[in-house]
Amino acid sequence: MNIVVYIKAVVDPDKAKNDLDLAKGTKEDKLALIINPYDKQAIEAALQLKEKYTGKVTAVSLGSDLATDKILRDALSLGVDEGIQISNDDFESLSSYSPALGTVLAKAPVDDVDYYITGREAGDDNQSITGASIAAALDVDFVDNVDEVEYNDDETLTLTSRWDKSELKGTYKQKPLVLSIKDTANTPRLPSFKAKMQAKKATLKHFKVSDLPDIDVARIKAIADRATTINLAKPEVASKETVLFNLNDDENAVSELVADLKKHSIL
Amino acid sequence: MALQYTEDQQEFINMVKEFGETELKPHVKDWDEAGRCPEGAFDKAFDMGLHMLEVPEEYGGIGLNFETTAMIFEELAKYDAGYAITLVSSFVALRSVILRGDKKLAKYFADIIAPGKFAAFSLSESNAGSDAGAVAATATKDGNEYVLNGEKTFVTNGNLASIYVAIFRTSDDGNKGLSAFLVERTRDGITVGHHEDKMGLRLSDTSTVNFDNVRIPADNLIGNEGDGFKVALNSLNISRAFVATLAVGIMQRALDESVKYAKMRKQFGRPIIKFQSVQNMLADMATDVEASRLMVNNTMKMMDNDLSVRKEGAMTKTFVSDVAQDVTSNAVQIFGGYGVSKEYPVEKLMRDVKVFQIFEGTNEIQRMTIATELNKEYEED
Repeated sequence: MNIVVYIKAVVDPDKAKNDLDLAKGTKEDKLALIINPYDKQAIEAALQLKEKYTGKVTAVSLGSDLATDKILRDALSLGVDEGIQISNDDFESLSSYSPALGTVLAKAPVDDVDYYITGREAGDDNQSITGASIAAALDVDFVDNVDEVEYNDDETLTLTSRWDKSELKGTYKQKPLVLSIKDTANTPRLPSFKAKMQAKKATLKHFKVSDLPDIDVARIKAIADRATTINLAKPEVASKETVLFNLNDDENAVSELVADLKKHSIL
Repeated sequence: MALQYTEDQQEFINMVKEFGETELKPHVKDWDEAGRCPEGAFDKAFDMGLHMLEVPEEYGGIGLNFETTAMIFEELAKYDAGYAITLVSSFVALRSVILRGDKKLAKYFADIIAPGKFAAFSLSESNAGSDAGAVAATATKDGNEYVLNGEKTFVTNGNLASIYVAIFRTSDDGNKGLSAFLVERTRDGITVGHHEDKMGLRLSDTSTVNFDNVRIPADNLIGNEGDGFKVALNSLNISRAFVATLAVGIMQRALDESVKYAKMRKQFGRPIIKFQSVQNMLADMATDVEASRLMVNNTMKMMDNDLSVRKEGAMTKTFVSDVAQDVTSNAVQIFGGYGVSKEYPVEKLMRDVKVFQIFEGTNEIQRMTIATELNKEYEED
């Protein structure tokens, strides 16, 4: 079974919150780059598929060479078999807001793929376009928001997607299939030190966007240019301090606190 | 901080941080209260290879040097030093066998712990702690076997270990009459007795191990008869450096918690970090942490270069464990009343750190070692 998992590099939120240049991507620090947390669930789902049915997992990542090198090696240390870097160094307008992203990712050269897997969304910009745009580009079926994967003995998958008050559960026989995995679907494994050291020595496959097979660069560029990022800024955090406790009336303090928390939708 | 990490070292530290956040942080309070780790608590640590970090690749280990291994364990100790020492004790016991040069015996040992088992080093007895020469447990040669008898106390990993490196007396010739043996837990006649209910490091198992006519092959002798004291010293030199690392982890955690709290806690209308008395405490704590980390790093680099750390290891362990008392005590002081509450993290750090002045050779014994080495150095001039 061949499984492709698409992964994105994001800046560690703990480091991004104090460094807007890191958050914007105008500065790169290898050690601040991590696999998009949602994509870790995608990797875990891919590895579980491989372990259940035997097969090969290929991770594909689009971005700068520095970023994709870092996270693909992280993915290899978790048990992914092969990494493909797609460098966008010659294609800077390709943002994760654009459906052009899926059009490019779908061109990653992997043969006879059974499942294409993505994380539900990106942890930095919270876009959730990758899975849908890859499915559209490949013209294959897409199951979004997967909360639970059951691996059946006949190599079909029973997938459950949940929303606030509803649930969709189905058994899917068709291959290939694109899945986007939610953060509730599994618990990602941790890498071993041995695998980490082996991953540092591994060879990654490297492509420029323009080198990908059957790529129509002009068309990709036209799609990508439809949207441009004008600004990226930190949200302003509103804060308000309220003094609730009246020391002369402590009997009512708890009920006042609960009422106020409810009023502000905290409870 | 003053210590500069390579990219690889920082990545390894990040791996342990993720492990600590997901696998330890949610459980440490409960396990500390229980006084032990539940079964399976180390499974993921074994999967990661944390018990084999410093073990050479030819023995199935990861093959990291002492310096990098120490950095990783400092990070782990921020989450729980008792958990960390459980893993450290295993590879230090193995290292003491590797250092005697018997590759076959070392490989046999490594193959037992590599899949996910613990080892223990046992020297102390009820009347032999700082005075190793008072070891009374005996090993008597009987054909191609040794017969072991006696009781070992305060054995770290005593109840967890699948294999022990244990010091027994083979003759009455003081320290020269001590020999070291590899003893498999499965041998008939081994029973694990009293589990110490300790004030700190409660995630670490400390137990008494009884040997009652335990027969082991003569091949399980590490080195030669009479090498036991050297094996013990080698093991203690390494373990002193590593316990100092763990104490740095505890101190760094105490500092982290204290600064965060001092910035958040308001008295007289402003955060307490604005008060000079608190600033002075924090400044001293931070300085002690930096100095300790650098001392540990220097000792680790010396060990990586096969230099004797008899004096430097003793100095490092003594200095670090002494200042760690002040650092954790000040953390409790900064937290005020909350500092002594188990709802907050710092009282545990203070409980955990006391034993660092006692185990692996008390600080009083370390000072004797340092003075002895100084005496030798100045005689040479």
